[in-house]
Amino acid sequence: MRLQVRSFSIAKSGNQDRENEDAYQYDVERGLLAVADGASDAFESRRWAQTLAEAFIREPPPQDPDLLQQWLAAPIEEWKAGINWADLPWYGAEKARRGAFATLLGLIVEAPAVDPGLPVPAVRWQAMAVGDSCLFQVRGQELLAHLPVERSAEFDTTPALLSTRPEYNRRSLRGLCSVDGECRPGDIFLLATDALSAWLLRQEEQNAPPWRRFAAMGEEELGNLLAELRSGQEIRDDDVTLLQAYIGQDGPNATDGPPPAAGAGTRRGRKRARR
Amino acid sequence: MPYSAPISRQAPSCILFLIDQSGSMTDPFGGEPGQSKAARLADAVNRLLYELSIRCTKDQTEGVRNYYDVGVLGYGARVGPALGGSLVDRALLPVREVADNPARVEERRRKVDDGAGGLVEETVKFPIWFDPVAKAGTPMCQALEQARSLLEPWLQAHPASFPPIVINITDGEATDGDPRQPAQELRSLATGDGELLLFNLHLSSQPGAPILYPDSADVLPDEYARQLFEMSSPLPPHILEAAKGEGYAVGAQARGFVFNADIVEVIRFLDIGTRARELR
Repeated sequence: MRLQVRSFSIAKSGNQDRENEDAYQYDVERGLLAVADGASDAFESRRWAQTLAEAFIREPPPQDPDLLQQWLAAPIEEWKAGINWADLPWYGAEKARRGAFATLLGLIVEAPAVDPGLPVPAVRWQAMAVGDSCLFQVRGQELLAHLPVERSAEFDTTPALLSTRPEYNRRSLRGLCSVDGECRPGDIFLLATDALSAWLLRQEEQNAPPWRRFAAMGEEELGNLLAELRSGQEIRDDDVTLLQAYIGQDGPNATDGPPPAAGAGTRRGRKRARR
Repeated sequence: MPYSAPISRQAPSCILFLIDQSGSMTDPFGGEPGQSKAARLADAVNRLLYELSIRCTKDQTEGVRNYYDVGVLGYGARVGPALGGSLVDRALLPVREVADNPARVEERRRKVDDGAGGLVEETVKFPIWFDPVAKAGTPMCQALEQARSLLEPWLQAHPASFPPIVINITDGEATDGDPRQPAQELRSLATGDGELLLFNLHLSSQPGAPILYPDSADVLPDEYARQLFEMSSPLPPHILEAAKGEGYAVGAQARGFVFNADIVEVIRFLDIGTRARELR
């Protein structure tokens, strides 16, 4: 089993890359992928989203709300350590006190131990989500599984979010969505933040599954498509992040799955895509 | 579609307050003895400027982002800029400059969640920009005219921005004529994204339930309230939604007007009325 990952991330129009509040991180060797979407009306949410995505890759959290609450303590401390509290003016101090908020979507693809010469057994995957960043499992043109948002109409502007304020997380973690399943070579996982997820789901609902089209797209084509969707107001003009993970087969003759885009396939994901 | 322009640093919007500083503002709020209307109102305006500054803060490197130009015009013994400290005589200025230049900073105690189910008291800094004044008549027509001459050049400089929001807060009738005409002229100012929004808050001098966001003048008890209703803009969709979200039963034709507002309603009105559809 071989995992190939392609990443794409772009800020909302008019904003610079460094203002993109989405973050992602992956580790191909360990089959780990994470996407986090920082809430733009909070403080240092980009930093929080990055911290959460990195923490997931470092040590994926347990799927139990209480244990997850404990797991959050380390990233919260890390976020706090990144704030220069002493030099904050009054508005910064108050906004920082109110905390940062972000979604977190994580995927673990568990590589089975395979004896050489034997057929590859099914590969297990496990995903967790708080908020509205979505995972799609696709086989060919068919959407096999998706989470945590069921239908495109369910996207709203107040998703559950993980906060740097632990007292808010108890409630958000009630919305923890945790799902597992099986995948096989040729399957594709897409991890996307809300604006793109809503569009993808809408396409699926309108019997225009976008999956095959997406699989063939490189970074530049994705950028063009997004610009087109934004100008036609078919998609909300928000930061957009997409990770595409292809389950391939080991071996010199493995030809399934498109080739990785430049820069992907590294052991550790870049924090952010170039524009 | 009007009122859909995102508010950004490249295309900021504008919030202008017109504050009644006439002699009658020394009266207490209806049924609420103690502090004068002028003092409670000053508190509400300071609080709004505080929240606005925080709303525009997103990270530690940039601080307050200039999503708005902000102004406060007082009308009473004189009509003109009403912020204190180093901002005296500044009519309209970027929100960043407002945030960085309060007249003074007070310390207040408040109780906050300690994260373990209890409450802990802490000291917070509370900046003051605007102090209560209450003197002489109510030259509301002049204030509306001054707002127009202040905003005309702003509109030329920001033709595609979300249009300015003007919030007029008064406890009574204009003493310098019928304010409907200058209000109409002010409301006719527009950017490519829509006409200027004029909201009016009528402060209570008597106890009684406020009338919030009415969609017809028929429910209002007197001529002056009806006048202020007529002067008020219909709520744009995102503010209508915000009002609904806060639990107000608002009709599709609801206007940005509150009659007989108490201080709680003033604060909520300011919060809802300045809600942005999108801060980019």
